[in-house]
Amino acid sequence: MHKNGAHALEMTTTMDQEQEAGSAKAPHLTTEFADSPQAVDFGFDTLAPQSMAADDGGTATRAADLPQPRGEAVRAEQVSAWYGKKLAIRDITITMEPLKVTALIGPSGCGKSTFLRSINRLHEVIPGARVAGDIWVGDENVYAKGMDPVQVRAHIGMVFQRPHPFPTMSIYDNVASGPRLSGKGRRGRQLDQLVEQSLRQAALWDEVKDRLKDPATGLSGGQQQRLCIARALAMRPGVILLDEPSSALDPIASFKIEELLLQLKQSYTVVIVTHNMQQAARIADNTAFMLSGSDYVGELVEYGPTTRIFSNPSDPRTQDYITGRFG
Amino acid sequence: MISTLPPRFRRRKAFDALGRTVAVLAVMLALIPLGAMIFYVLQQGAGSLNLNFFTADALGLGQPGGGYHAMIIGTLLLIGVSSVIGIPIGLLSGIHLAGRGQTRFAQTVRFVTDVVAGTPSIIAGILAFALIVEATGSFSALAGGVALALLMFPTVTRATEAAIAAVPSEIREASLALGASEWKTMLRVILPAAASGVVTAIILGVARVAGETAPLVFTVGYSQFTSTNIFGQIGTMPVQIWDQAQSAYPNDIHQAWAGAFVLFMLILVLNLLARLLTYRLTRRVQNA
Repeated sequence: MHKNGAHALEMTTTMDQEQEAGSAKAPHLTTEFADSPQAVDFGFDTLAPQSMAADDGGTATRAADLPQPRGEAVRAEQVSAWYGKKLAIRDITITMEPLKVTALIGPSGCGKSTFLRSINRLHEVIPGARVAGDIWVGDENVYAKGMDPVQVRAHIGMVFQRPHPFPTMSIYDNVASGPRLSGKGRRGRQLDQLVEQSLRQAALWDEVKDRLKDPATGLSGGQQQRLCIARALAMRPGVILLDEPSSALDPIASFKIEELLLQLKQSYTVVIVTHNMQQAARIADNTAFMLSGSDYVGELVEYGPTTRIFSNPSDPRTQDYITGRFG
Repeated sequence: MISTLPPRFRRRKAFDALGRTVAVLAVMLALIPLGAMIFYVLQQGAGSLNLNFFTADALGLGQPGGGYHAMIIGTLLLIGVSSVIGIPIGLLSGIHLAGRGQTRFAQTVRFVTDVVAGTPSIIAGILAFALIVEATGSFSALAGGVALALLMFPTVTRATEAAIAAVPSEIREASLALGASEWKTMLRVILPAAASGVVTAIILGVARVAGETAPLVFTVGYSQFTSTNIFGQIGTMPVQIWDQAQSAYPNDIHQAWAGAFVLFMLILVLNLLARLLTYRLTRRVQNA
């Protein structure tokens, strides 16, 4: 388990020297997992007994009610991805800190989403698409030989650009769908608690608690997106990936999502792709700037603490992008 | 200023009006045969349409009286047999094509399906004759059902594929991203979302074969008495209509018209049912 600690150290060195907060949280992560002998098991059941026990203390009274922090570092090494023969991203190496918000910014077509979808091995479900390189989530390489992509996806939450609740399911069933579909089903009261807790974390509980059996499609766009976040949280993921989660929402709904993400980073590692530079500046601890050159292959240009990327970028292309000279 | 239109606007408006008129006329032209068919068939068969027609078994050619009870039951039995064979094959093929549509195998299946869909129905009858009637030594409802299933499955396959393809890909990806296997994603997320289209696919498949005559001539034999034995010969509505229409007796010919009317209505009702279910299930999904 101490490999986690090793990553945390490595991270502080691979990151820009200016950042320091990551190492403060990292030991916490190490002890958190050292307590649990099955922590390498990708099922969310490992930590569930703890969070369930915490639940019984009085879920109804605590608003945020976040579970024990279980955010994990994400470390990509030399990741390239193809659509058929076309190379989309080349040699991306980056370490995303646990319990932080990392934003991926860059113009359209620079491969942000492709990279994001590589992390939970969703890229490969597109016919002909493939990925090369390694991505460690916590201390497991999701591209290791024999790793089951279905298990990887169960361990990493994902939220898409447009809210897509499952159309035939109620609000309750949508949140419960992850545990049910992945065969890690709970039943009865335990499932009720998990659904409630997930909806609370997604700041949606108060709006839907009286109509859990209603169709999810009856919610507003912003509520649907928070429902999708709750649906992802119900799997108790180590990492949450968001692909432009608020670009289809109005400013108020968008603001609620941002507030929510700041809450969630207390418990989860958050990686967000965004077109909106102000959004990255508002919520991200670290920001990665990606760009595709004349060959249309996306690369990582610069990565560091958000404040530095936006105030004093070291690469002139980053400077040009954030000042609105292109993109 | 606003009320005085320049000439080119006036020309445009005239052209628009002309286009509308032509379109409405075309629609009416298409509807006339439908209305005429219902009217004419009903007019010719009305005299024979009575309770007896629905409850009595058939009599021999030339004998007055008798009804279509055996044929109605026979046709329903045949629809049942062909559905049990054809719908699962069609559904599963459609699911496969929608999920793995780009592989060489899937392209081949799609091509074969289209070829079968375009095959004259009598060929299906000949095939069922060779495969089942010759092998078992007798005409049977089963042989007819196999022939009809062969005609039914391409319709179900392609309509199912289209219904599944209409579900947004994000829904599928959202389910996969939750750690659901492809199979569970299909079964528990995509198929329910595509339910209206899939039900329509099934009903269209049934409606496609319900009135088929040619493949039955070789396969089901004939029975004037009501029978539900799938290994035995049965009477069916299309074959009975065909037989009676060639009779020299006016009584038989009027019964054939009445049979044609009932068969026509059966298929019309099936299509309307498909419409209704599509509408209701779609509303359940959208619920907007």
